[in-house]
Amino acid sequence: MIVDGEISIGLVRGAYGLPVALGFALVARHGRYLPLWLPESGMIAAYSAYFLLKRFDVPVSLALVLAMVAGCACALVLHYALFAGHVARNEPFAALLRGIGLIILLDNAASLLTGGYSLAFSRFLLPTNHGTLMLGGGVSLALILWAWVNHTREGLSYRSVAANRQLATQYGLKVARIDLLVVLVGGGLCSLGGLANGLRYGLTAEMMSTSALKAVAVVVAAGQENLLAVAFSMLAVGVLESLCQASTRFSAFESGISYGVLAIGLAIRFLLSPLWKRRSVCKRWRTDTSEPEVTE
Amino acid sequence: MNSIWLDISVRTLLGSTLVMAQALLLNWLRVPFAAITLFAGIAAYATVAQVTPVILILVAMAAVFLVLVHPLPQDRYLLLSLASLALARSIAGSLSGYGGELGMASASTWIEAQRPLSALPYAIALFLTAFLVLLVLRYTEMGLAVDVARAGGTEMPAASMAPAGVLTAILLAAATVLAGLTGAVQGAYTGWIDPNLFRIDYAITLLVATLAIRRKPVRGTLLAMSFFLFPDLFSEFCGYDHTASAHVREIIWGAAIIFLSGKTFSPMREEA
Repeated sequence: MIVDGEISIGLVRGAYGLPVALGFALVARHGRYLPLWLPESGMIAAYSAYFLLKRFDVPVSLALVLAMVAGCACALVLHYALFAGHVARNEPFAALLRGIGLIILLDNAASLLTGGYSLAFSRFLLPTNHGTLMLGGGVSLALILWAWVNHTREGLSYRSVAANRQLATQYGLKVARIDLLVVLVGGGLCSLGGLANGLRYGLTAEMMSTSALKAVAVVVAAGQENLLAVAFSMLAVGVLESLCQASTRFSAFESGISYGVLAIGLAIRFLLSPLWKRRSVCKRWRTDTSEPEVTE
Repeated sequence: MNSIWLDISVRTLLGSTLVMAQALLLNWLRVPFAAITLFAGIAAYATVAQVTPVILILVAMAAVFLVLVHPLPQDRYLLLSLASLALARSIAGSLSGYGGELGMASASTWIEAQRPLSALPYAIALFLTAFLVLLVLRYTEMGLAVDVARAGGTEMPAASMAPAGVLTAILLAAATVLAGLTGAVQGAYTGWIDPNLFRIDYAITLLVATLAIRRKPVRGTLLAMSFFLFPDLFSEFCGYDHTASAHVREIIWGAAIIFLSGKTFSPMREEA
């Protein structure tokens, strides 16, 4: 009974990370790097919404829309200013390092602006069924994105650019347009995630760092190519964290779950899977060579 | 007053030693390792635990990182090194025998806690050893082999001219020993060990310093020292409160990473 409760809490917890994980996976596959900085656009969106509501007394719906626009604009500016060159030259390591630097810079700038205090949206409350809404919305979002990437003409262009950027350019695909679209959608999803997290948990400068790490963990473990697997893994991480939190024995591991998933994912994808493939290739080769040769 | 300066000296020397140890891997071999504090933190626990299991753990960790150098892409390797810190922090927090989340007092027969004079000889010895290793890499044939091995990462002809695996193992072993001894001295000197030894933000600070010193032994060493000396010197002479201005310092670190990563780890720009 308690486990059932923890599972449903964990599912909701995972659902709040779904938009960020999906946006992250989309941009990661397109640029062939880990855009650790992207969830920060969610932090910018959440803080923008807070200041629009508090300082300028803007109506709630307008403030949320403007905050989403601010998040997307921020993602676009940062991508073209700092990361587009690395994507074009295929430099994932330099891009990751820059992403870490950018996170440190933005988080501390936000802390400096707010005096290091956490903030909270006080003007409106979340609906009582926010967990169900978030879970349903997140899963629907994953399905829509999966269908868009795998079964539309735009999705085919996206996959072509992600697979081979130079070849896609030579074949006349509008790579610049795809770049713009992907960063816009990724930034929009992260902004949505940032707003949802801000509404539920409040605003802190490091509010998106945890989401970013969880997104990296599930994208590395599940593979950026499979959006549905990414969504499922995010929900699974939420459930695991919730179960750890409920247990007194394993509560210290709650914050380590996503790192554990990352380490296991890396081990499976880059160590065990290649070994398994090599073993099966060797086996096939042995059975092929042991067959008697057929002569005419 | 003297005690304050001695304390600053000890902390600067130990921090610089960790930076130089990390530079052996990150700058000389382009192994994207950013968790030198993992080795230092594990070794710090040797001040309260038995030494042999700690050494075994250090050797096992070094072996795991060595094995993963080739299979993992650079960005994944960097993430794994940072993730290992967070995992170590979680594990250390769950060890109730070693104080759990709160930590516990460390004990050493060689170094008295919070007595800079007793830790200074060890700090100087470790610092000079790390500096010597950097000089060896700069001025000997082995250093030339390391340069060729690094070039082998991007150029096929160079890859066959130097035993990259052996050189990586040697430098990783040197970095582990240096970081382990530094961590043990740090643990004994501060007189307290807790899971905060594995903080990611400290690892990031060391990463910035490592990127900044590049492959220059003398200039790099001076730069590493100034990196740790700068906040304390400012607070001593100008009344600069470095805890209140921590955000400004971190913003400068972040900007430095953005600038240096584009300059140092972009192969095309480096060739140009």
